[in-house]
Amino acid sequence: MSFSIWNGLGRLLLVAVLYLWYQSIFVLPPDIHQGEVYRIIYLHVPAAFASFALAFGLLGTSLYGLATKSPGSEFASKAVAEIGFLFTLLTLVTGSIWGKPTWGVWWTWDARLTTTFILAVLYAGHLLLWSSLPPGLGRIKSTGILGILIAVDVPIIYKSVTWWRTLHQPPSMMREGGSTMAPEILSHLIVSIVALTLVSLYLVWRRADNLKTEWMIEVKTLNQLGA
Amino acid sequence: MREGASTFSQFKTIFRFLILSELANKERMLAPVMFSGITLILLSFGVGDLPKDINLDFYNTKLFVTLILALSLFFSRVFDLDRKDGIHDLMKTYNLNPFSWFAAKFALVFLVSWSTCIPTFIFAKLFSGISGDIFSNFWQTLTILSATLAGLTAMGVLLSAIVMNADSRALLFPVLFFPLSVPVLLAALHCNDHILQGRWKGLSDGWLQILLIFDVTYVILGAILFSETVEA
Amino acid sequence: MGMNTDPWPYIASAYGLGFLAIYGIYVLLMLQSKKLKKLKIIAEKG
Repeated sequence: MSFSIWNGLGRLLLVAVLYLWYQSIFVLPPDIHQGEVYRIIYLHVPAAFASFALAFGLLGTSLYGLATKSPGSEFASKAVAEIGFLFTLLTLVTGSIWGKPTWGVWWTWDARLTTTFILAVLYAGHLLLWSSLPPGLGRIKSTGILGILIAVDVPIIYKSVTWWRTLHQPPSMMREGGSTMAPEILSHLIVSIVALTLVSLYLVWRRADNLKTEWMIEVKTLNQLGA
Repeated sequence: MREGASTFSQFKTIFRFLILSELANKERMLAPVMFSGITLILLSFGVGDLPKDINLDFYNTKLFVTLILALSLFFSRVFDLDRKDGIHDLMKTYNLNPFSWFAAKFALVFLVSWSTCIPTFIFAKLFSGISGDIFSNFWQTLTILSATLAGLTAMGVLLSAIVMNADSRALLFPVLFFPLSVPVLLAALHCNDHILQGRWKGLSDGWLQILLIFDVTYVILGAILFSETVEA
Repeated sequence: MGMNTDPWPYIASAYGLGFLAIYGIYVLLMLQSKKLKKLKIIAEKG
């Protein structure tokens, strides 16, 4: 499929997310326990899911980079780390905003919040490593290894709710005996998760494409200067 | 080292070389010890006397947090001696088995880390006013400290290899090391807490199992991924 | 949850920040893409 078709689909997704947010804020009924403020779940949980999914994306691009040593993998890894960092920050901020009226605190060293914060720091570390190394094979390998290490951290974040005592919600969606959420909330949440994850992938794709174009321009310019 | 030497003989040769260079630069082992001693003194002085139950938690936390901070000072400079005279780049041109190289580096760093770990443990106990001698629960404490050091060493060696050529490695190493060491830190804290509270269950302790899983994960990842950093 | 807490400022802040983050990045990427397209043409012409 051509660039313009993928781009068109991406734009459609962005519009779809706006529609889903409209539904989340104005249409869906309030929650029995949390009232209106629960509506933040339709942004917070999809952002969290996208940030974790991108960590696995980083695993894929890192493994590809280590296997093929291609410059394309470098751009993909950087794009994934940048967008992943954005979504992790969004998760933390929206979680904090949701936490204040729900728990009375902006921040607590709850296990899942803490490990999500760790993921944000690791993404930042990945970006810092990328910018600290000269372009080439060394950078591909080093960032590739770090990408794998970061992805290993993601299951720990998910498991942390069951391993450590926490103030955070116990997993409402994926627990034994099925979800405790009302069907319309659950279905809307799942659609929001899928939509926002696809949006994050679209942003990654656009960013990787820009990075590749930037590199091609640099190579062409250097060749012309050298010629 | 002769061509085609076995993995074990490569390991022995590299390890011997590394330990001799480390012993020739003993002051490198002093800096983390000084750091942990000063940190523990300042913490104990600043906090003063605490009620018994809080004191135990505080002792536990300051022991492992200081240990990780002190060890990070050492881990961040694990390859400095090799880089100094171009030895590291020279070694990359030899037909070395990366696993032997990693194993030798791991063994060295693990052994040398004890020169930080033991004084830190002694200082923490001395300055905390915890009752009981330093050797109480000796074998359990040794198990926890060994498991903690093993996981941290594997990760420290790998991260040090990754950031070795980076411009801002002094900043990069702690940014990467501390988040990745959190699972080890938490598991070690809980395990030691069980020992101090008399609730130690040995290998059936869930936290020790978690610590051992982390260790195995990081050692295996380190062994596999280290080869990428030393490929010429 | 505090029964007297008005939830709407929190909801508005969360979605506002989400909108700024996601759509803001999209706009920045589009602008960057346009600029790079022009630079690529210049680089190809020599």
